[in-house]
Amino acid sequence: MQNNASALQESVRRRSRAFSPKARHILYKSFTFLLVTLAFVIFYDWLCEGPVSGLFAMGKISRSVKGYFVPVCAWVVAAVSLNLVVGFSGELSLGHAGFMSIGYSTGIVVYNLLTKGYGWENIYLSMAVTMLAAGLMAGIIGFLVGIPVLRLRGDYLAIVTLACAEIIKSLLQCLYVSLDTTDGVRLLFAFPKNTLTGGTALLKGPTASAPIGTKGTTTDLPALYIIGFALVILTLFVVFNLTDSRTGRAIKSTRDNRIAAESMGIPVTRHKMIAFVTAAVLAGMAGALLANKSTYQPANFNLDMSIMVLVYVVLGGLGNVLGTIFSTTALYILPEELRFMKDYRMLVYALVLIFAMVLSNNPVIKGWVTSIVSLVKRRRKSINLFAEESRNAFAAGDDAQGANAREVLVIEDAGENETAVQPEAAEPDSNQAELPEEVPAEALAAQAGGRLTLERLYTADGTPLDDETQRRIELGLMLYEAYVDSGKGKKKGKKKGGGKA
Amino acid sequence: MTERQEKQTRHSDTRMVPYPSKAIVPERDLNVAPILETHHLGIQFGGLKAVDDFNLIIGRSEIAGLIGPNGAGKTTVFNMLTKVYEPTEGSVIFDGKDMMGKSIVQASKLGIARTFQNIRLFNQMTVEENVRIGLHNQIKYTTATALLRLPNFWIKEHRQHKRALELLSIFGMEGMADVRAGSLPYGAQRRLEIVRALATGPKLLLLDEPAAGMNPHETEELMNTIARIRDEFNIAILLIEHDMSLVMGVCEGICVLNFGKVIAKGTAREIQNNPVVIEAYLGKQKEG
Ligand SMILES: Nc1ncnc2c1ncn2[C@@H]1O[C@H](COP(=O)(O)OP(=O)(O)O)[C@@H](O)[C@H]1O
Ligand SMILES: [Mg+2]
Repeated sequence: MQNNASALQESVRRRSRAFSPKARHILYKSFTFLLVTLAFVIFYDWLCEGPVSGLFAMGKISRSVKGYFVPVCAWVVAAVSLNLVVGFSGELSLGHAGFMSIGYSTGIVVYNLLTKGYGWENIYLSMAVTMLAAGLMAGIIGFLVGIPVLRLRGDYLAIVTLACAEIIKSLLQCLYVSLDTTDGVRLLFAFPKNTLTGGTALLKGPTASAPIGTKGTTTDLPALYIIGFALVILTLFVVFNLTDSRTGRAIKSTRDNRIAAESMGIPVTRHKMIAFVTAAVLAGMAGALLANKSTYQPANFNLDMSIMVLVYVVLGGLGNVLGTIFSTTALYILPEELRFMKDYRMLVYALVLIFAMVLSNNPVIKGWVTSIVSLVKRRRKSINLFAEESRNAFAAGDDAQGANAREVLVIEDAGENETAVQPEAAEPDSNQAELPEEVPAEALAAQAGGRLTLERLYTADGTPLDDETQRRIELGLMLYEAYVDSGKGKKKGKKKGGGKA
Repeated sequence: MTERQEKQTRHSDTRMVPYPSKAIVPERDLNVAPILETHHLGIQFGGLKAVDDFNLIIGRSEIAGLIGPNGAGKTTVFNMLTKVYEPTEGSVIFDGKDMMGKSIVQASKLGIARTFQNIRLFNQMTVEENVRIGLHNQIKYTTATALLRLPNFWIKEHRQHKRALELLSIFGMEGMADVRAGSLPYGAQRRLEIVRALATGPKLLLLDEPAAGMNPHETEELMNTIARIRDEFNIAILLIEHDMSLVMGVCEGICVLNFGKVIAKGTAREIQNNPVVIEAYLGKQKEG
């Protein structure tokens, strides 16, 4: 009996999983890459106002829209990297802007040194080296900051990251760097007051610095956009490859249960550090990319900016890379597009944000979105398949015990108060379930947790059920378990009206 | 089934012999150094002595039990052995090494694995991932290998996967490998904790109330599995348990703790007949 049962359970399980979670994860990653690439191709054509790839003709583009593309790449990288810390390692960091500002300043100095000092012509090469330097610098600072910070937990950690970012911002606001090419290539530094004379000023303390990504005096937007896209792809590779690995699992384990992770031999601080430094490196690179816009100044890299990136992450979903890409793009462009509202701009932005947060946290809508994303049709099919088998198992008709077992299934779940779909398996016969209570329901429900073979069940007047009925109830529970395990029935809604009178 | 029962009988009939002085170990472990020795182990929380003068010796392949009423200090002993707490007195010698000043991670690497009384799984991760965390220090590759997806990454990942399923099959849980650990039924969570602990390749496995919340049938199954684990992995097991059928059925040496002090040590039979124990522990148990 037990063997038959498990064989059947196995077959149900196998059929109900057209896509295993692993396959689904690979699909999710591939989809993310595909989507980003597709978006890039379309927008690149648009940016160049022509069918460069020969695939799309997007027509004319306004000046303001042109300005979105590169920053969006930078913000996506910043948000996805912050998600590594907040979503995967489970530590709230309020200092992400600090690492971006380090990348920003390093980027400006290195880029101008290469192009103006050493006369590098190739923008891709100079930008690649610039970003490496920016990432390296931010990584080093990230490591130094991480040493004290990662010894703390929770709120304390958040506050100290905030403090560190503010310190970095204040220091960079007093840093003056000039490039002197009169007598060989030299960089001149001044801190905290500007005592520099001569040369080209690169970092000018609190005021806007020399931009990067320029050819002569004009910014080469298409080239920068390609670089931004490459950075996004690099970020996706790093984050996906890291999180789906031994190291990544260890990082996630420190988030889920610190003590258990340590007891399993996972050095917690080291793994939090890996996530923290990786995020800092990527944030530094994003910061360097932002330096092409003269609107960014050292003072912009403050708490507001850190919070803004955090908002992107939270709305996109902790640990959800694709969601973060969407939320970042939408929330970056929204306030820019709301400029026509003048004074009401931030008010409307805040309202939209609240609305989006509420919506994305609503279980009904969440379930709705997931069901679309994870191929609703396949799910339905497998549930129907379950219905078929369970109906066969209950030998159809208004079999008293069979219906009773279903009844029990509903009771078993009544404790769960999260909303979701009523299993369709129970639906077709649900109005026949109005039968006298014959099986001790609680006993059954209690058993449903882990076992398939129940102890002998009795009817209300104390007579034991015959073998056949007992077997059917067991089978019903088992099928139900398979159904729950397959991830659909997990959180079923409250028992519908169809109980007994 | 019958084979298991035979093994069962064999365990409870192990002849326990005196080890150097006060302690006892199974006869077969007499000629090898014990896996664990604690000497006058004690810890104080503020004014409270949670554990005091705790002495225990466990043989290389012994299944030992640690029993006592709630609040007796059993879990605290586990926390001291795994270095969650640093003892304020006495010493722990594990596998011939003094554990003084070691970290939790070091204790795990030396070969102490544990489960928790209040289940501590990685709830957001799948069953298989939970076991793979246990394999972290067993099947290794570097972060750079992972980032670049070098061949070694795929080889080791596959090895981890196979090993994880192998370990899950101890409890017949291979079919649940992709289920989120947090959504498992209670009993399965307890079993997963044992599998995860075993994955770390321990020499000593500490089980904190493994049968809590299980029904008699499950408990019996668990008892058989514990004996099987000891035989297959050839490790020592120390378990805390309130279910006397399990303790008496599988444990060779038993230590009884009350108010942080050892009140009796001996074989199952000796413990069962010890009037002090009956008064402190079993008597209460019978009422409940
Ligand atoms: N971290 C701690 N701080 C203070 N008291 C503690 C701490 N851990 C355990 N204790 C105390 O030690 C005693 C033993 O607890 P415990 O080991 O959990 O008992 P049990 O035998 O039920 O596992 C209890 O009185 C408990 O309050
Ligand atoms: Mg305890």
